[in-house]
Amino acid sequence: MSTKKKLEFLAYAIFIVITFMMPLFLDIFWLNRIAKYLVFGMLGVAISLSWGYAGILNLGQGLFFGAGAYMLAASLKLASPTSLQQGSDTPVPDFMLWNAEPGSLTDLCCITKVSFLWIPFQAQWFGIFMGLVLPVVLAFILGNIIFRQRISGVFVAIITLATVLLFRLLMIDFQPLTNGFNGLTDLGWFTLAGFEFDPYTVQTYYLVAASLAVVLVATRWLVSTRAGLVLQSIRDDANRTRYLGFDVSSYQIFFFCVSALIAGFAGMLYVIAAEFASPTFMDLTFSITMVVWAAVGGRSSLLGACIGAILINVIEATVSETELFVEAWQAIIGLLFVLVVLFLPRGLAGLANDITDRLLGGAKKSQQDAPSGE
Amino acid sequence: MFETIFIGLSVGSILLLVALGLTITYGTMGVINMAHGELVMVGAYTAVMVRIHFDLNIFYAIPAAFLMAALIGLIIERLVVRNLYGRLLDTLLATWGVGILVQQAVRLEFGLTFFDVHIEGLGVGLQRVDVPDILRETIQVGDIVIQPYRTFIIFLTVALVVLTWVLLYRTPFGTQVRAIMRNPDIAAACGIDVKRVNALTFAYGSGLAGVAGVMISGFKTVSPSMGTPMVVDGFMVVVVGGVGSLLGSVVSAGFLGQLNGIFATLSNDILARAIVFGAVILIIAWRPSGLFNFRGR
Amino acid sequence: MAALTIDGIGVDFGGFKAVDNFSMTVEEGELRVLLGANGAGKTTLMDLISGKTKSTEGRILLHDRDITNWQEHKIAREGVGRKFQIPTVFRELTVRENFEVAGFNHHGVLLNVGSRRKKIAADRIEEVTNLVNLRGKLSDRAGSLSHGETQWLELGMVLVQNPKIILLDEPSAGMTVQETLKTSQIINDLKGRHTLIVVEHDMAFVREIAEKITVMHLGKVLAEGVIQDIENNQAVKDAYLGRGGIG
Repeated sequence: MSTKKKLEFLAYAIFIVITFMMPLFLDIFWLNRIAKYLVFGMLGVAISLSWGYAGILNLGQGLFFGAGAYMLAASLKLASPTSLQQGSDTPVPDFMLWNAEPGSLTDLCCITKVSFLWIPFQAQWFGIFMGLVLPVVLAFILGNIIFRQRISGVFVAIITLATVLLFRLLMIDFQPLTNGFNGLTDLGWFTLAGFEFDPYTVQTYYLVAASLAVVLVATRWLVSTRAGLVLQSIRDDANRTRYLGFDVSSYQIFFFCVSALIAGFAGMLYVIAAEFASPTFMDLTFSITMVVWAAVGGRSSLLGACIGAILINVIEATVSETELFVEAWQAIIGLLFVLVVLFLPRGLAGLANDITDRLLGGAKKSQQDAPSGE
Repeated sequence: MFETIFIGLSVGSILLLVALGLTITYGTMGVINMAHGELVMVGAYTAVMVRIHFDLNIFYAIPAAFLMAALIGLIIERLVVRNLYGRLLDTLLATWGVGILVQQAVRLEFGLTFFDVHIEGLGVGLQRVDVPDILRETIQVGDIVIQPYRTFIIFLTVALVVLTWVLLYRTPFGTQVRAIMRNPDIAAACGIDVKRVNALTFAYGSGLAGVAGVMISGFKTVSPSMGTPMVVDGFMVVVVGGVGSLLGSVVSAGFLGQLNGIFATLSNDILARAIVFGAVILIIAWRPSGLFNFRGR
Repeated sequence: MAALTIDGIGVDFGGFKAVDNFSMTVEEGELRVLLGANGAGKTTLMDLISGKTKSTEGRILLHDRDITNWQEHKIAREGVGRKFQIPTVFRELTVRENFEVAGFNHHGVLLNVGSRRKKIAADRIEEVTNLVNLRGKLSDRAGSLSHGETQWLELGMVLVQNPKIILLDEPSAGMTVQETLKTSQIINDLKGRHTLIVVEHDMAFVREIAEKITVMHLGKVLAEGVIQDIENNQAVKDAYLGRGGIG
């Protein structure tokens, strides 16, 4: 392994170890916060994969995040004690009672016209299953519309932007189904193998941290495969890649779906840690903010984007003591983003990369020619 | 029936007012200015400040807002856009960052909040602008009730579209702008000062945003974040209409406005907006270059 | 069975016929030079063969398969490789990575979710790297290469791709005299093992490599034959070479 690769391996290892050591230093309140930021780190990975490696600027990643979140949230809503207190033996979400059809049975089958859609969510595994499948299906459909038509660059960004806003409006409008603006709150705890995950426990933190570690390593491996190399060549020159015999759009759709899967998974973890799902997940500002994290951290580096997301949120949390500093921090982020786009396109990770290159300097030429993976 | 059409026209005219400036910058320079919504917001705040500090009504705010927004646009072009010429996605992102900065500038009253100095009319809170008395009373014409303020907006929009058209197609400056649109290199070779023309074009487009802001402040609450949804709407119009096509933007704004109006009347406003987004997605997917694209082979 | 049979191919761009009822047959292992003034339709013809442009009339057959209006990647998989006039390589990838992508055994996305150390044409890459003189640059970013080196890289990529038919669009463009000589040597070496179609302007270069030449004019075939025939063809002289003959 080349020195570069060894350093990269070390960076990943150190990062994962640090995340696992957090419970030694932080109280449970902060741990829960950090867990949420680790989820954002996962989103950074998703954006990096899509933007940095595939060259697809998705300004609507919140769509997949929200899709994953709502699916699990539906199951957890039905599992909450409140849902069993609505006057029926079977669980019924409280908000459905407020939207009930007059004279209907207090049961998922018939309380509102569309409540039957919630029936399968009584099984938690269904919520998990849909939380992973729905984002991928959406991405597959969207991907086929976009990439088979060879739409690229700015237009992809605009379509993804319009799509997330479209779904946000639909979620808000279908009040009887989704509880509209208020989202899904008062959720039960996630259970796995009989164990309940109270958001304010160390176990939940480790669930998130372990998931992030798995996602980081798996995605890093994926981009180091032949498919990952083809993906990067598509990013550099899609046409040239076609002339070498590759069906470019199938690669783009595949990785777009993987990115959506990661985002959906992140959405589910967020629901477990934060105990709610809301249409704000599909706000435009949130989706673009994810891109800001990845840009600052370094879009072409999975770990960089991940750390960028976590770091920015941690700093934001520390300055949120006064409202004044919150606003000032927002301004700083805005300025940072502009500066990064103008002068530091590969973000902080790129900077770190350049510094290591310079330090390794002369050693490069005599290195064994191993396939590099960055 | 008339109500529905009027609402559609009204919504369409506001869309067009916001989108007009974007059409100019996107059409001539291919620049996606995500800070355009903030420029609209600046226009609205200008109306607020003009009322509070000078006790003047909206009509006086119009030229003031134009200048204010144009000035900010000029600065944005100089510092950011110029350095990213040709890099469309980067321009989109960088201007989003600029938009955040402008928003925060208003929220933090240009930093003066730190020193506990407060400028009335700025800050994180909401502001209001009153419609001038002349435009307040509804006019009854037979069966039809005419809302003068919204009608004024429609007329103003038409006037600005005509003004823009004249500027683009009947002045030497406009010819230069259109030459650059077709081929910036050849235009430069012909002696056109591309940098200067681009800067002025961007400023003009920004100024139009300011005017839109003034008009919107009459019926919408003014807040620092009011601009963000507008840049989205504006872009839908521009991209659907097609790059560089004034006619395209007019048609597209009209179409999307009517669509919104019809569905808003039929069901509700939220669904109406959702349907507009759906239509935009389909149109871009079917014809990525917009409805009226004249960039040839 | 000829390697490439073009039968009355044509494309109409809203009234303008860039290629007009063009027919040509290239035998297996042959090297065909395509000459013609700017705008004669040479590059458009290449675009039609490789699938970049859709034709409005005629057919193209690769060995016996009708590949008319197929998608680019399918035509590439069928055995057509193309080197562009303006060298197009993957600038952010290393030279080695550029070669690797060109030489993957499989093209499907799922089949390529596997290690980069496997299913690549390692031997061929070694061979080609030496041939195009880029051994010292294997770990460098392709974007950092000089113009000539980028041309070599792209040519190398096409060689690693190892297609049955190679389309070369002005392979000597922008090269020094020595580089041009080297290129002609490589091309001559490829004769017989691959079928080549070369678009060129540099007549001295053409002299080095040509067997049969097809001259295009206004999208049609103007003349066809060996170099002496072309030089002596009056119509060609009038249309392309001018009264002065070959320089």
